[in-house]
Amino acid sequence: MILDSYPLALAIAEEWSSQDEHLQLGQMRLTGLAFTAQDNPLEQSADTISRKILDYVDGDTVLFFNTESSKLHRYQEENWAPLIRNLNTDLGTKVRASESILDCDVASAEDKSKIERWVRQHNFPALIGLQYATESVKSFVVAYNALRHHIDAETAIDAATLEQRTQAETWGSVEWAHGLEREELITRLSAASLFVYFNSNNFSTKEI
Amino acid sequence: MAEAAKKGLNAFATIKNIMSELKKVDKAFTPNSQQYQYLVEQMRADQVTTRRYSKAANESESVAKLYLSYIQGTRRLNTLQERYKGGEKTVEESARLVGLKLPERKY
Repeated sequence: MILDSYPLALAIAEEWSSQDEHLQLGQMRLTGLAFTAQDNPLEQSADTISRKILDYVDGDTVLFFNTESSKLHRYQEENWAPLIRNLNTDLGTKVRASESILDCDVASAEDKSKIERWVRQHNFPALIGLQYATESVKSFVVAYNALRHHIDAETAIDAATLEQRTQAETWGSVEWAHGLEREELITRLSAASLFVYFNSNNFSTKEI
Repeated sequence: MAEAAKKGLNAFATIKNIMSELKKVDKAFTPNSQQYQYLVEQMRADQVTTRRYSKAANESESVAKLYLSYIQGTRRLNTLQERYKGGEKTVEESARLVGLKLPERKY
């Protein structure tokens, strides 16, 4: 495998180094992303990936506020509204949250083209990472905020799982299942963010 | 100025945490390893004043935190999976449950 980024190469080597006798390939997320970017098993293109990422915007988790529960609504105001604002400030978009799931214009055509332009700036490996990040949290807005260093991984997962966690406050939770899901999401999003970062920045190369 | 100084300190602390995490899961993580040396270099670089005025001032801190989240999350995931993994009882354990013993093996 040939990698352009020295820190990324180190991090991937570290994944292998941290394994016991039994390899847990599923957990080696950076390795997986690197292989996907290199082999492109699903035969994707910058076009197909960009389109898939853009598709998330229309149904984005954080763009649909719940009006039924005032507590949930308040949490959404507190946690999601800042994320939307960050996006709009950065990209000059006017994306807004809706209170009805039937709403189809949370993002205008102009907004989407601005978002697409930002997405398209990324090279192919970075796009793979961006797609993985978006799909893991089921939200472009959350993934965007994490990738742009506005929020850390834990905060991002808190935002992505806001509804479940609010329900759990009222109804209790299945401890291990929620813990497991949380750590899964944290590792996916953080790995994806790192992958995008290391593929997007120029690092001084070093002879190993 | 104090804000930037605080952020420098955070990246430093985060990298220290990264190193202690890696020591836990990787026996090969010693001062000789390239990863170790890279991290030490990052800690040093973070102390340099010019870095604090870079365009995304919190960028190096954010990247360090992302990596820490990644390796900590992986370790916690493993712990949870170990703790909550199911598994069938062995034949011997099942026999013992009902008060039986398996015949002795003579070899």
